[in-house]
Amino acid sequence: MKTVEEFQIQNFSKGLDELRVNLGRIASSWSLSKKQLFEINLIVEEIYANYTEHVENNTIHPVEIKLCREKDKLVITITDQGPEFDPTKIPDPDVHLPIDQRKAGGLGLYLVKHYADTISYTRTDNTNILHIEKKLT
Amino acid sequence: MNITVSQKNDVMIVAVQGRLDTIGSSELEDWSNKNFDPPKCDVIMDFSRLDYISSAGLRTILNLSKLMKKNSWKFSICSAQAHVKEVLEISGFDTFIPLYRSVDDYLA
Repeated sequence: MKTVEEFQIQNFSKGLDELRVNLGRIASSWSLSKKQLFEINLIVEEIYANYTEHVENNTIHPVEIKLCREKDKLVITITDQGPEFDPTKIPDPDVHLPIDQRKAGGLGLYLVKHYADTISYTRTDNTNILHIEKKLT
Repeated sequence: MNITVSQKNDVMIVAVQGRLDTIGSSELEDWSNKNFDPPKCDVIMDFSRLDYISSAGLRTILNLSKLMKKNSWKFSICSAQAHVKEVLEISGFDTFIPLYRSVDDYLA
């Protein structure tokens, strides 16, 4: 059986709260573990944070988030109408550098890649569409 | 985000409660700008009640860690929950920030 949950993040300043509340509600209706909820929240926050960094002049359109679950497979689809941005093209940071050479940039998408099984990006009709697959084990 | 400070054997224990997401991290950043200018002793962050960390939180932790190192003080983290500890390890932060099981473990 396939279960689908959808919501939008509309308000820039309260976006993270909207995200946390919606994911909390979905996690409890799907009986997800605390760790699964944490990983899903992290994935979506990092993608959302990247989106808000790349939009111009705070012209933020709603970001649509869809979670589709079929047995132990979860597909997260994140859609926005911001400027073209393909997070799969961002190179990984070197996480083995000593502290003096470390920079924090790029760690968000690195964590997304770690917690997701596959990530694919499409740009259609001025819209960024990101599909993220994750096994719920 | 709640930050509680205590002192034990010349170490400042900073207990962070809540979420180090984009918002919580900027609160911690503001707090440390006020309180660590410059830092005056070793610091251990107690993460026992930290439920969430994202890359925004990692950025703040990295900045704090660099600031402590520059001033020749020790900077450590203790009691992180398993999923928070995992994020620190994936990001390689455990290679330059010692992670302890508890404050007592650190003091021992």
